[in-house]
Amino acid sequence: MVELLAKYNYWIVIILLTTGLYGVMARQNLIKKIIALNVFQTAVLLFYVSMSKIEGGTAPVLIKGAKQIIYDNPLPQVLMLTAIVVGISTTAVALTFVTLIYREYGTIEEDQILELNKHND
Amino acid sequence: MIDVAIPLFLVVCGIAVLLVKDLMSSIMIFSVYSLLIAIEWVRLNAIDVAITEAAVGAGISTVLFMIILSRTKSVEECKKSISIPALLVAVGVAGVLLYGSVDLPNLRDPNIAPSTHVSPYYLENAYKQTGQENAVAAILASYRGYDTLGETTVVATAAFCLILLLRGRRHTNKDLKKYEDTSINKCTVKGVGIKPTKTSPPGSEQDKDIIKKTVTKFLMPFIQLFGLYVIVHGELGPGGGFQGGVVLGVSIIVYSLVFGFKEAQQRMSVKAKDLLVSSGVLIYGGIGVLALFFGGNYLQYNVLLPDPKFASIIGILGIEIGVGITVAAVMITLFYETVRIDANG
Amino acid sequence: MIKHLPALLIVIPLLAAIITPIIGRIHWVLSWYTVTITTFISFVISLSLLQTVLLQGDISYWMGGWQPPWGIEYAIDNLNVYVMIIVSFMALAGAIYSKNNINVEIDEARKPFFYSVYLLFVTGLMGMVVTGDIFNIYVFLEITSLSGYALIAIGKKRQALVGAYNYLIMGTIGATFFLLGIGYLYLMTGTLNIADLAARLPEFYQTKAIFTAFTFLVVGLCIKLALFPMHFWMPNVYTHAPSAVSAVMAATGAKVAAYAIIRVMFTVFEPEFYTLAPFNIQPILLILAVAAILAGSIMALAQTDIKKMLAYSSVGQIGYIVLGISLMSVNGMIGSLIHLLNHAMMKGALFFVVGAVVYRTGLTSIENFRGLGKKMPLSMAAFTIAALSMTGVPLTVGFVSKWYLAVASIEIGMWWLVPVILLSSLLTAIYFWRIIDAVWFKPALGEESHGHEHDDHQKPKSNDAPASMLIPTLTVAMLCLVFGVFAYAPVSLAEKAAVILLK
Repeated sequence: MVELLAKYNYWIVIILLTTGLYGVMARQNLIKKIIALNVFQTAVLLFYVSMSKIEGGTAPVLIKGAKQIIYDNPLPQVLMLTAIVVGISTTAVALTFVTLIYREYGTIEEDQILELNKHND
Repeated sequence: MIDVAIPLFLVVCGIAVLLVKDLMSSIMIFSVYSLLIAIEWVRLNAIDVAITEAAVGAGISTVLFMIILSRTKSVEECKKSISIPALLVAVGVAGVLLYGSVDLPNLRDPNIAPSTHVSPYYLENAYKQTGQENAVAAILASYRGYDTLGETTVVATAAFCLILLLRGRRHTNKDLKKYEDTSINKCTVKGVGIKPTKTSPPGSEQDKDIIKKTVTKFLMPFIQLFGLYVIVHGELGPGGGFQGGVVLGVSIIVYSLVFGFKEAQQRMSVKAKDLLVSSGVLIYGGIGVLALFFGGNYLQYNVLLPDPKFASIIGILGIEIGVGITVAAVMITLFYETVRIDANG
Repeated sequence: MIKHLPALLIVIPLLAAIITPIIGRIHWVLSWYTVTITTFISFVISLSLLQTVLLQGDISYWMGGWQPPWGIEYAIDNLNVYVMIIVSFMALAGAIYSKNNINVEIDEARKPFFYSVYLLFVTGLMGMVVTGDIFNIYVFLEITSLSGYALIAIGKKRQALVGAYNYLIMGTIGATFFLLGIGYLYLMTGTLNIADLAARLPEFYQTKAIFTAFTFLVVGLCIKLALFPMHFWMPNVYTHAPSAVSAVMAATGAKVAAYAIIRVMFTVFEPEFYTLAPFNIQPILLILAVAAILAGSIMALAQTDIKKMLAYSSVGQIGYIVLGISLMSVNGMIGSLIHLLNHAMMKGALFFVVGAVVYRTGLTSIENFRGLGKKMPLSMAAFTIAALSMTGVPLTVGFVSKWYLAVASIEIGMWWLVPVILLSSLLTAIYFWRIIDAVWFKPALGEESHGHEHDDHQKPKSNDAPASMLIPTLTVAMLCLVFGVFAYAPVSLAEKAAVILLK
């Protein structure tokens, strides 16, 4: 049990990542896919940020003079700031595609779009 | 206990997001999911990440999703079948991850490699070398400043992509004018309390409108001041260009939601905003190039002035402002450009 | 300033890309000049870096003056300078080519933004190549991906949007896998610098966590590379993207993904890993490579749309590159690296010609190529050279790489790969022969019947592509011959890189 709890966030990461990935592939609705993609990406964020936390550590804002303080690892946090920003950029572009697709096809369901493409070719 | 509960809630929300048929509810749940994650970041002492997540995940992306939803269909069509290939891939990935997690070190262990190899150097030297008390800001802007330049470029790229895809597509400039007058009406989202500004009937609705406008007008300077504060504050505590930029961008977005697109454009024209997207990255890159002329490497701030520490502080402040400008301008771009889309061509 | 060339290589095009929309406001042609000049500068810088690397050895440049592993390092050696030259050269050719060709897809008002995004795409690729920091690869991967999606989506047909959307989904999954892989590496070693990783990883080679990291890194990149069976997003993308974009993507995008795989497999991880790892990776890669080679060729045979045919042919050619990697021998690696160069030039030339045909006739079906030999003789000559090279005829570049791959297979006792290579070459010959036959030996399809579709551009008799398209097309096609005859230059460079990788 202790062993399980010591790696608790890893298990959460795995569940979220798998859920998101399944959603991206299985859902037919283009917007739903993007939401699932976001869940998928946040799982990786959780993985990184979880490893930055140290038992008894404080946020990595340096306190002058004090020597005995343990700080959390700032590097994964920096990396994930990047990843969040990348995520929103991707989402914005993806959503733009969705509206354009809706304008051209009149639907945002993947199977219907494939059907329409077949008739066109 | 709460450290166990929040991740569990996350899982519940994550699954619910995918199960709900109505897309609007799905987006709302996703917004809650983002807020929960932001709380989890606070629990994990990642304050900078929390601010960004709350502003980006729960704020901007929810707004974007809702705008797009109002342009398309809001209900997912009913097909409840389970996709076998997707399931196989997902189970496969989960299998590999489980396999790999077996010999991962325990969480919160102070002796794991990430806490002992590179990051102690940052914690020890960040203040001495860069004058930053916030180690996150020191790494973001200085040690790994080049990554941040790349990241700012990613944001600017998104803006350029949107403009390339949406602007001038299928309509002439005259039509664009027409959009700009009416677009806010189309942007109205059901059930969220954003009312059309033009078609609102007289009476109580009008009063509400005035209250809303007055409140917004009153709050606007404070929000923007807060945004600026966050940009500059990165040196001392949580905050920085991204977080502050998002807040600034949101303030303009709120303004255009309340006062209408046209009025907002008088405050900040599309041309000016396009210029700002570029100029933020140029400030950042320019400071880097400037360092070359002072005999340093690219983005080496401490050569800019005689006192290396002070030079570093000034350099970092400069690039944070650059990041803030670009991020704010891009957030507004994302909003402006998506609002202008007309789903019916 | 010479000292700062590694940084300038990326920073110049990056900042130029940001300025392009502003300059383009004056006149769109200025934005084209910006792109052409900056890609040319990058090409020249890569050549000068090649000289430095050959004379003085590897270059390490510290961004922000911070020593690695604390700061980000640009590490330039024989391998990435070689890939840099390919990428920057094809980017330059593509930029020149696009000047007229892109008229088909977008109007003048959007051209400045097109060139800006194009330059960002290329810069992202170059940034991935020169960096010595694994997280920095991810950042630049995202720059190039995001701009790539948009470039595809501006294709004329609505299928381009769907293709771009699917690519975005697959690309993001791939990039996220890559990020996850980096996370595992970081958690085990605490570092992100590639050289430092290489030094610290060996003690963990037998752990399951590192094997998982390896799997996610390679699978993520394979999605980007479009290795069979993760290729399904790719044919639609290449088919419906603007021709200039297809050409540049086929010539550079997949090459950089392949480079990244080589970097991860042989620099971050060292050959020793493959003997210590809990599972044997070589057979898996080998099977995927062979499947890609055969499936790609067979599917290409079944296509009636020329762009789609070229896309499936790319699936097969990527198989060759992965085959060379998976042999894990010096000659195999040389074959792989030479094929990177060859495929960039051959596919680039083929897509350039197809783009010219689309520009003139607006059609992409193979039928439509009948009799084009008389109408567009120079373009079709370039097509023929590239097609011969793709088949692997001696005296073309295509022969050189296949030769090395065959030699390497025999060397390590996998002689059964030789018939596979021969069979695939035969299939390639068949699917290209259909077109070459139609081009030179068949009369044109009733000219009047589709005459009205190109009366805007058609001038009687001299109906070949405009010079801005012909010059890059012919240059690239001629290089297929030049490097086929004087193979020594690229081979010696590839050999140096391969020996270091497999030390």
